[in-house]
Amino acid sequence: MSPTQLYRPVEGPLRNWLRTQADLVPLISSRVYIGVPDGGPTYPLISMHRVAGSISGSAAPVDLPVFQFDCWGNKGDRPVCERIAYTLVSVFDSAVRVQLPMVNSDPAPILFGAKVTLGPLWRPDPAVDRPRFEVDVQLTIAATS
Amino acid sequence: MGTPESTGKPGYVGGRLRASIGFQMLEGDPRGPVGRIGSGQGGEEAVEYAGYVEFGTSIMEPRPHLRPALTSVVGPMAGGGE
Repeated sequence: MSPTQLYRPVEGPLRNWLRTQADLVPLISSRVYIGVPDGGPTYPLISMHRVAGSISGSAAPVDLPVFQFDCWGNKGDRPVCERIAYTLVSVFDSAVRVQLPMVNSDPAPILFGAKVTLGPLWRPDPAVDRPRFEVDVQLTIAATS
Repeated sequence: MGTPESTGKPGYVGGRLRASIGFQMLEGDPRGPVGRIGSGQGGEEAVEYAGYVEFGTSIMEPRPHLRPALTSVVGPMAGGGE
């Protein structure tokens, strides 16, 4: 019987990798989160959610997630918010065969490539007058070690 | 679908958004068969909060319902899937 191939979550490694990107750090420091943090977070920030995609099980299993990245800005600061979104697109456009950081003791996944599928799109939150640009990205990631 | 637990409203009956989703085919588009899918697209009453559910807000996480479906079929539709 062949050993079970263990799939690993990719959210944590992807978040940690984005936190280290030199083009993003001047704009948001390390404020990349899985979801908007509770309790009055510091803006600007990027929140990320997996919104679609699936693991393609095969002899060479890959995860093909679609992530929604929300680039949130300070109230009234649409330009910086927009700049963050375009920088994020640039970062993903340049990402080819990147080893993502390990989380806990899980093996480090490999990001083979990324494709922007939506955005940057102006999508503010009118209820609280919070600027947001949205970017959706489909990733190709080695799903197992 | 919204429930009394998810909305915090006792007796809440959900399903309005789901019932509002439909499609329409656009006639005569030079690109070929083109359709629109979404809330209110099939003649049903559009639900004003559909976008907030799909894409979330600063205080509510997205609960995507159209993008997962699109992602699962776009490959076969484009001839690139199984």
